[in-house]
Amino acid sequence: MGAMKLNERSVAHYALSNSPADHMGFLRTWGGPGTPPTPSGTGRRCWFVLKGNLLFSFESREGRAPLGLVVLEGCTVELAEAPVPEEFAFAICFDAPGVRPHLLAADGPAAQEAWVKALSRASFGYMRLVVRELESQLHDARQSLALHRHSSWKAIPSRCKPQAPDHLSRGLENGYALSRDCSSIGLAEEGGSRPAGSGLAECELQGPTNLLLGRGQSPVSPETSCFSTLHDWYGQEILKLRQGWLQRARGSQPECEEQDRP
Amino acid sequence: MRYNEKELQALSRQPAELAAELGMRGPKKGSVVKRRLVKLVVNFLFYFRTDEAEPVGALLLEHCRITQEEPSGFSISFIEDPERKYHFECCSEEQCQEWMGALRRASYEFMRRSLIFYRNEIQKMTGKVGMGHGSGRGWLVAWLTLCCPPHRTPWSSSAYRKRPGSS
Repeated sequence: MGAMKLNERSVAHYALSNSPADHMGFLRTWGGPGTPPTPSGTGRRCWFVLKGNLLFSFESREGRAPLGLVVLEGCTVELAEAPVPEEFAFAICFDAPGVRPHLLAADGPAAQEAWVKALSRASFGYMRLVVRELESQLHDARQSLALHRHSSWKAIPSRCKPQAPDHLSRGLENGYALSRDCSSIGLAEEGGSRPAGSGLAECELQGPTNLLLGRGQSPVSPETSCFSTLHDWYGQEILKLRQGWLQRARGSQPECEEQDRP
Repeated sequence: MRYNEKELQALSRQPAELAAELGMRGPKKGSVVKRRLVKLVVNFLFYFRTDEAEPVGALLLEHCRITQEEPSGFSISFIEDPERKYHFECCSEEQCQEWMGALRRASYEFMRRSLIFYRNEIQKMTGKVGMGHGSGRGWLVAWLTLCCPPHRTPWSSSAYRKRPGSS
């Protein structure tokens, strides 16, 4: 059997593109080309870039082509012992036969912690979970707003039109349309558009509207265009959800056939 | 570029978003249509010979464009070479639309945009209803209050903003 094909040119183009990187930095690696199956020695220092669920390595920061790719699905990230006595090592471990852990080492404790966190959250499924939760929260917030429009707000105009979730998801299918919308919304703070003084503050809002932010807190900062920062913000509750999700995912059987090689 | 084939093979065995036997034609001139089992798993499209367990190949679906091709088919091309197309033939218009929709949503970049979209929508909603009231019973309030740290995260450092490679 021949080697499996991959659209490598497109993958390399994506690696070098301006799409957001979730983390990057120098790491020592023991899994490079020509290395023995068992890690030994001091490893090779490479520039690593994490984009979504893909970890790319480059010879240097200015590298024009990725040296390697690790696909971060179905893996766990654990602290590890490097072959030589050194600190700050960790490993990407796969729950699949024949896939050895990727051993990596950072330059210091902060970098090690940052990498372990970033890699642990890098799976597509985890991102999907976060997005679904936000979608659900938005749906709930819109429903509660609709409820209050029909109760005590009769005289007060509202610019917010509750939309059905179906409309919302249809609107998102075409990635190009969405980009346009996002650029008009802008990724930065929209402080000026808040109708703070439009008489809404006088209303007594009870019940589900305490879903909303209290005490003038803004969830938005200019850095939240990058998922890592967004994630940190949505942080802890999502981590708990993810743990539950991972446990369920591990316990479930794959839907498709699992055949042994003939 | 080195990658671990076994990692991808293991991924190809994971539960699929969509899987079907489709006609597939590669981008090279003169390539013929072959029946393939096509399977969408996260942001990868795997394709198998219909009687084999290991995939012939995989396509990473980031920065791709999905185009309808008559009749009842679609093509996948990539941003750096839009004329180089992988063609797929479906058995019906309905199947074709189903696949096109799923493939367009199947990228990490799409989900990232969704995240930003929902976050902005929630912000617009909270902005419109004004400063929140109530005791903070809601899940969203506790969640956001808890997770809005005043200190700087490692990702905020200026080193993080440097781009890989050079243009």
